[in-house]
Amino acid sequence: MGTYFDFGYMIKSFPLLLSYVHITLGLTAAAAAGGLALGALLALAILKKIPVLAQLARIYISFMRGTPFLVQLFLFYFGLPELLIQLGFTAAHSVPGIIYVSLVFVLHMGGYGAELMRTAILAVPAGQREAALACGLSEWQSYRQVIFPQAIKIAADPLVNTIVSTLKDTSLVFNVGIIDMMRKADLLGANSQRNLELYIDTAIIYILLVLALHYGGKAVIRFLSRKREKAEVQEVEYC
Amino acid sequence: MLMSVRHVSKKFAGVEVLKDVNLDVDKGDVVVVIGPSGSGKTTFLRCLDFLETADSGHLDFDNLHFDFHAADKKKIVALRKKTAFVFQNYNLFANKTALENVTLGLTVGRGIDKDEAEKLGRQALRKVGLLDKADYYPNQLSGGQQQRVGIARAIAVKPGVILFDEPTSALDPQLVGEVLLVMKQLAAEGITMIVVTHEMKFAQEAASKVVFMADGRVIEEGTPQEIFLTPKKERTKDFLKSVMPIEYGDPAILI
Amino acid sequence: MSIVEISFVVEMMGELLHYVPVTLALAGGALLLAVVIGIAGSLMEQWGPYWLRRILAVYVLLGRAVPTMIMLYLVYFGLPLLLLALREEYGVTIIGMEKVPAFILALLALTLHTGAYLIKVFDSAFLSVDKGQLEAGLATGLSVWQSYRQIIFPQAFLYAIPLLGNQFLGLIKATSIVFVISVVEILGAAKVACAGSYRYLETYLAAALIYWGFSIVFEYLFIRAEKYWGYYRRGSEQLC
Repeated sequence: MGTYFDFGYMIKSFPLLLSYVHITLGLTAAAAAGGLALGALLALAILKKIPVLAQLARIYISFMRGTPFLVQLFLFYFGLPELLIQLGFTAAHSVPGIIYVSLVFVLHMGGYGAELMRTAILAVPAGQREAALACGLSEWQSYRQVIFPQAIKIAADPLVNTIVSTLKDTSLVFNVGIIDMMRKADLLGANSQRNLELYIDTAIIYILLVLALHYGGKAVIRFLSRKREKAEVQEVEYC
Repeated sequence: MLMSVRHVSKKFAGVEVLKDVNLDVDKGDVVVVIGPSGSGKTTFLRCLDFLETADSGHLDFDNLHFDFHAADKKKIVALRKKTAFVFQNYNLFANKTALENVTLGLTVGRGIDKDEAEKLGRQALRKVGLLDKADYYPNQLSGGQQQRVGIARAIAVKPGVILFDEPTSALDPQLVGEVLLVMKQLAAEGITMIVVTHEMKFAQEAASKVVFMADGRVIEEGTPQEIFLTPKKERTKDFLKSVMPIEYGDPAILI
Repeated sequence: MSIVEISFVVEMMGELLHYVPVTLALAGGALLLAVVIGIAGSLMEQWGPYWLRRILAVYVLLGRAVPTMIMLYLVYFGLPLLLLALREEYGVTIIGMEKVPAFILALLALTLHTGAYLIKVFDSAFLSVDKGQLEAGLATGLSVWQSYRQIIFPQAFLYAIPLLGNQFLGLIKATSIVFVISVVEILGAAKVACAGSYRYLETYLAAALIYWGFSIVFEYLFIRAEKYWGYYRRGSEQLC
C-alpha cells in the first residue's frame, strides 16, 4: 500500500495545514458579524416597506442567494477594483486581497441572513402582536418584548446552519489568492504529489470545525433559551 | 365458530396491558367491547390484525391458526385478506380518491380486475351513502364522510369480520350519527363485527355480545341485556355509572 | 467610456450560454443520482441491518460536513488512485477506466455530497407520511411494498419536492467550482475569457446574471411542479 497512500505523510502534514486555520475562522467570524448586521438592516427595510430601499433589498437578496458564492468572489475580487479605479479610487489595487474577500463574505451572509430574519419575524403568529397591543403595549414594546424574542428563537437554528455554510465556503478563497490551508495543500501537493493525503487532512480539519461550530452553536442556543420561555408565555397570556 | 382468541397477553414497557384475554366470535356476531381508557381494548383489537404484536396467546380464524408471538408473515397477509379494519382517525389514503381508496384493496391487494373492482367499489360507496363523492379526495370530505368511506373500504373486500377501532371517537358530535347508522345497518345485515367504542347506545341497540374490559382483562361479557340491565361485577357497575350517570347514577348526586 | 459596458456584458452572456448544457448536465445528473441514494439510503436506514445503518449515519454526517470543494479534490485525486490500486494489486480492471474523464469525477463528487443531504430529506419526507397510512394499507390486504408504492412514496415525494428544488438550485451553483479540475462550464469559460480580455467586471457579471436567471426560472418551475403534483391537497373548492 506504500506507494499508493502515505499515511505518515498525512499525519506529518496535518499540523502544518492546521496552522492556517486562523484565516478560515477569521473570515467566518467577520462574515457572521458583518453579515448579520447587514442582514438585519435589509430585513428591516423590507418589513417596514421603506419605498425604494425595500425593492433594492429584495433584488440584492435575490442576487446573493441566486448566484454561486465563487462567482460572487470573482466578481468582487477582480471586478470591484476595476470599478473603483474607474470611479477615481486609483489605490484600489493596493488594498490587500483579504479585505475584498471579507467584503464578499459579509455581503453574501447579509443576503442569506436578511431572508432568514425576515421569515423568522413573519413566522411569529400575528396574534402575538395583537395580544400585546391589546394589553396596552406600544408597537415598539410589542416588538421588543414579544415578537423579537420569539423570532430569534425561530431564527436561531437556521442561523447556525448558515454560519456553518459560510465556514464551508471558506474552502473556496484560495481561488482568489488567499493563502489558507487549501492553498498550502495545493502548494505542498505540487511538490510531493501526495495530494490525496493533504486533502484528506483538510477534510478532517473542516469536519472538526463544522462539527464544533454546529454542535457548539446548538448548545449555545439551548443554553440561552432555557429560562426565558416561561417568562415570555406568561407575559402575553396573563398581562 | 368463526374466530377464537385465547390467552392473549402483552407487556409494554414493563406494564401488562393485556392479561389473558379470551374471545369467541360466531358468524354474524356483533361484538362490542367497552371499557375505560387504558383498559387495553384498542390494543387487543389491533393485536387481532397484527398491527401490534401480542406476547403470547393464539388465534384461530377460518382455518388459519396463529401463535401471536411467532406468527408467519404470509399467514398474516392471508388473514388481512379476509378481514377489514376501520381506524379511529380513518386513515384514508390521502393521495387517492374515495373510490380509489375503496378499490385499492381489491385491485392491488387481491388482483381483482379494475372494472369489476370499480363496480364493487361503487356498490360499497352507495351503501354508505357516498356514491356522489366517489371522485373526491379525503381532504375534501368531512370527518363523518371520511369515516363512511373507511367503512366502504372495509365492506368492499367482503371480509369475514370487520374490526372497528373507536370509529366515532374522532368525530364532531353532529357527525357521529351518520356513521353509527351505517354500522347499525351492517349489523342488521349479518356482517360479523368486533367494535371497540364508547357509544353505549350503539352497544345496547346493535350488539349481540358485549365485552367489558378493564386493566387489560375481560371483567364480564354477555348479551346487552345481561351487561346493561343486570351487571354482575362491581367494576362493571362502576364503569356504567361513570359513563351513563343518568341511567345508573345515584339520583341524589345529580342535583 | 462607461464603467460597465452593457453591450459587452450581453455579448459575453451570449458566449457563456454555450456552456449551460454542461452546467445543467452536472446539476441534473447529480440530482438524479443523489435522489436514488437518498431514497435507498433512507429506506435502508429504516429497514436495514445494524452495520449498514451505522455506515449510512457516518456518510450522512461527513457528506454534509465536508465542503464541496474538498469533496471534489478527494474524488479527483482519490478515485484514479483507487482504480489504479485495484488494477495493479488485484488485477481488477473496470472497463476502460484508465483515465476517468474529469466530468465524471465532478459528477461523482457532486452526487456524493448531495446524496448525504437527500438521505436526510427523504428521512423527513417518509416521516411526514402518517403511520396510519401504512397501517391502513396493510389492513386492507396490501403488502408492505405495495403500500409503499401506492400510498407512501407518492406522499413522501410530494413533501420532498420543495426540498429537492432547493438542492437542485444549490447544485447549479455548486457546479461553478468544477473548473478547478478542468471541467469547463459557465464560470470556467468566464475565467478563460478574462485571461484574454482583462474585462473582469463585465465578464463575471455576465456569468453571475446567467446563474441568477437560472435560479429565478427554476424556483418558479419547482413551485409549479409542486402545485401540479399536489392535486389531492387542495381543499373543497375545485376538483380538476
